Amino acid sequence: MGKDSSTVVLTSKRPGLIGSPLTVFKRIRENKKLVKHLIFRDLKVTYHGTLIGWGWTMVEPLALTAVYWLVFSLLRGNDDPIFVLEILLGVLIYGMFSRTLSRTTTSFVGNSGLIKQVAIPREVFLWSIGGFQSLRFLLSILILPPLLLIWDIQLTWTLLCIPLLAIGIQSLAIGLGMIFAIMHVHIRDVSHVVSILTTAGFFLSGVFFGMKHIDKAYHDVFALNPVAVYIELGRALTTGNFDILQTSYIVQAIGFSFLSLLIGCIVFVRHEAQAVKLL
Amino acid sequence: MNAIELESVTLDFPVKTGARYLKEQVTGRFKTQGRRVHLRALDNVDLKISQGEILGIVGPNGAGKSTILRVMAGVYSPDGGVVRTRGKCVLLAGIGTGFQSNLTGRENIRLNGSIMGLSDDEITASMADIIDFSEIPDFIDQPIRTYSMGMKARLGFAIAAHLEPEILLIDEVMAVGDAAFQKKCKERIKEMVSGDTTVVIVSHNMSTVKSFCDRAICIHEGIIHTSGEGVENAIRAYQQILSEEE
Repeated sequence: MGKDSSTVVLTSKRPGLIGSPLTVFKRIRENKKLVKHLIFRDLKVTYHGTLIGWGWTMVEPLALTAVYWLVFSLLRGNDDPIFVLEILLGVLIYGMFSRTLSRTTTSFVGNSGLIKQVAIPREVFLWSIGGFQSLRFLLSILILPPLLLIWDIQLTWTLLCIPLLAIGIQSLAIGLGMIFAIMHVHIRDVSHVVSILTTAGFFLSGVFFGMKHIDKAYHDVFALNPVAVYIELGRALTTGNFDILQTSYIVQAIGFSFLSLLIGCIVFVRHEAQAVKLL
Repeated sequence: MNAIELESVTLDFPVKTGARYLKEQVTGRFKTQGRRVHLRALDNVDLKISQGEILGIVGPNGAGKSTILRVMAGVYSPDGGVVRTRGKCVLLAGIGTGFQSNLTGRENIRLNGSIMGLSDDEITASMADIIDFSEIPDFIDQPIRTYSMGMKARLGFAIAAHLEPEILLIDEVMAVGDAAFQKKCKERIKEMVSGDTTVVIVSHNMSTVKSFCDRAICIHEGIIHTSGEGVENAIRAYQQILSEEE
């Protein structure tokens, strides 16, 4: 058989270390319409049958804000609206990270029926989860400008950079998710371990506190957690106050995200063929 | 010109060590590589299928029939050897896999079509035909969860029947819906195979294999026992294996 563009050749050879990430990006680009369909499937299924549909992406954080305001402003007497805003941002950013990580971890096993029937690149399932959670986050942050106006906090142009934050967070989550998804096929306990880790991460990533509440001597240690840095960055972008956040912390967090995605792609591409056999 | 080529294809399934010894004694088909244990599902398989040919694959349960089909489809990558396929390849197995119960039939056509490799334009162009073929136009805008199993299967087959692949791999999906719909399915498959489409059919139904196929092979324990010598020869080999196992 002569080889032309329509010929598919399958062997046991896998792409190398550099080839693996390139393979993943090529497959995602070639299947971007399928990724789009899966994102909108998740959007429809998640809010199916509800009165306000995807409006819940905004109502949920608004309701959370009301709860935080009630707890911290009324009950604890802290009437600083920035404090409530900071917690809200922490919840939104960490929620995007943890939901993406936990759902990508189980995505390989969860889609086993399809994976065993159709030869589609399996990365699309993980990336569509990342896409859906990013979309959900972007819809949620639409409540920020009106809230800032209500609380009389000045709107800054840096607020427009918040969507970029999703790229850093999701690169980290999808990269880790690609590793955990493969591990989960071999050891089903992995999903439970990830669940414990994301719960612990909620309290360790500064969702309910910020860098300003930590002794300066520990800032370097705190910044080793990239999610914590992204939460701080989200707060800084919203308020325009970058006093406490060093550029080196941001660079370090972006480095972690890049590394996570790189290693995730390598692990996934090199091991997914064997993992399919265990589904 | 060959549409499918398998050259010395070997495929191993990892086996959990807990089941190792019992299975080793029963089948004697396990090999060890270090501490891992593998079941050899396909053993050095060579097979060439010409463009437009209709090949039947028969064999007892667990022989490797569905596995060889999934290797051709690209679901499984071989552990040894090379698989080459030319043209758009579609595997018909587990009709309706991937349906979302909360989405309507129409939304599922769009989603499933996309998963099966159809473009948005192709799905839009085929939508009316798919709905018409499925015979459930009154329910197409209802959520799939309200469908009976038969209705889901009919919709699944209707989508699959409109994929127009160059290579069609069929794994025991002829028995969908009631007798009238099964007849319609068979007629549709006949239409698909009457063109230039290369077809591989896995079936336990010998009359299906006889009526559809130009050639058949019998596979047992991951090894091809007959090839290239007509349908009757493969069926005879299959029946002999069954009688030996009894």
